[in-house]
Amino acid sequence: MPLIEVKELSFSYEKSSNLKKQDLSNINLNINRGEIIGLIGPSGSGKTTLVQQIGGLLRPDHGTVLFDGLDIFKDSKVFRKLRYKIGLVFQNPEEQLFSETIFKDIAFGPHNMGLSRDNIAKRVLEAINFVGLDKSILSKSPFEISGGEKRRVAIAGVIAMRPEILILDEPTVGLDFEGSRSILSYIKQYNRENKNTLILISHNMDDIINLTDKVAVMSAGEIKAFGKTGKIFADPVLLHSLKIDVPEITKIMKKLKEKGFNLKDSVFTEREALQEILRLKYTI
Amino acid sequence: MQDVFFGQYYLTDSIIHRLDARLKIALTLIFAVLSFLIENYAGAMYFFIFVFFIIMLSKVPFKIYFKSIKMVLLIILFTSIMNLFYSDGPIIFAIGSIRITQTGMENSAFIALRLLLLFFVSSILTYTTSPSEFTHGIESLLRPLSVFKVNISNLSMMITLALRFVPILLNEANKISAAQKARGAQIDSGNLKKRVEALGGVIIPLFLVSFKKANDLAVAMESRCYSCERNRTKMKILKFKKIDYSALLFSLAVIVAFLIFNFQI
Repeated sequence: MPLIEVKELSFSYEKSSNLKKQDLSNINLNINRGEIIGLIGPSGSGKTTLVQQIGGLLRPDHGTVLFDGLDIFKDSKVFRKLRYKIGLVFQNPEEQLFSETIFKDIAFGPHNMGLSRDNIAKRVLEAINFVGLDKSILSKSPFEISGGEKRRVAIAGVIAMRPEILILDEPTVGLDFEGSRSILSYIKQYNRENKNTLILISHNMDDIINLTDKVAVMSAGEIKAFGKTGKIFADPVLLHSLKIDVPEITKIMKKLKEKGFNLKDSVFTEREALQEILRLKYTI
Repeated sequence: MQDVFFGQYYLTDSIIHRLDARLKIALTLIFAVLSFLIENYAGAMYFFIFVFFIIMLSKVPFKIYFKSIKMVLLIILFTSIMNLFYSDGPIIFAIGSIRITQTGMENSAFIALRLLLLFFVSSILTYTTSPSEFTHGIESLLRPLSVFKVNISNLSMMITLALRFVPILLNEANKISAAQKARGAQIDSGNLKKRVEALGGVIIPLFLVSFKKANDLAVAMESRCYSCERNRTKMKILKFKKIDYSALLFSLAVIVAFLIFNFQI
């Protein structure tokens, strides 16, 4: 049984003249335990709205979201238990920090779960470790650390609840290269160690290729394609028709090919590119 | 908190939208005052018919009005119930020291009607006037105050920004409360203590975000050479057109008829 099963889900925002948000129509999506799913699509295609439904924060108009076979919207008792199993990290999560100390902020989720004091402390330490920060930071105020550190603290606040599925909405946006690479590597490690399920929303195709097993492509409130990451990116017709960007390295390799080098058509990772270039070197 | 709320601009292509903002603001004020002069049910009736006529003309769906009425209904109920108990006159029935009088009943009915009218009249103004038109209108109407060395363009910029920030902050509040809910904050469920606790998680970040946004905006404005000392020119210059004059005449006729009607019968 899939961990998350979205069935014929549709949702529309209340119409107003100013705020334009994308409605969702007929979304079907199955996510298996342990998978890393990438959710891509142009801005305003409904990615954030969809993960808010999966996280149980917005109730769909039609259709259901099943977590481990349980309908999360069916009754509030079931949902209260499930809420902590679905960890949702919003865009710019550093804006939600509010406690006097970082410790208290990370402990907010576990505290709401009603855990014991010792248990909370254990989880806070574990979480801060996962996002690669030193535990000496815990006694500081969340307002005196850098932007990148704030974001890690905010992610730790969700990880501390030990969710079975972690949903990250553009976790690296606005961070420098180093910052985003390290956050992603910690997330990857976290996922590997806990055999967790992960949904990653990103506009950075390098991150998507490097991290995800499967990709769902959204456009205008619908899922236009869903499948293995390698397959989706190997389909030039699909990429073109859905206006999906490709990783930087793919663009470079394409340029090289146009210059007359005998290279493979679709190269997505630096490693592949290196192998290709080396192959070329030895065949000449 | 919903997407549509009291006081938001709702764009349609109606005549009311095209009217001069100054006229709309002035008339709104006049009608607000007049609604408190209503003496009898016939006057209230007359007023309501006029208001609904304008609502029809505004092409803003009734649904939108009724959605935002929910937010003011509590205030209306509260004031009208308070009036019920604090009036003298012939007693209808009494429980202990609580007396309900006939004048009390009438007063509370009228208060409710007046507040409802006030709500509709001001809603028409905010639904049909964009924030920038609104501030231009205010600025132009307040211009005489510059005799007293009040910086009108500064004042109107403040009003514009305050209005502009309402939807932004509402949006931020929604985002932050969703994020806290995802961490198990009980914002709209659970007991009072839990809710108050959870509210801190929304208000503190919102406070910080609003300061940050205000600061960013101030920097952005200054870096584009905004200064309140200099006289700024306008892209849209407010000018009375034919439809404004006819709307003015029509409203005057309605007002005069109301005054005669109200005080003679």
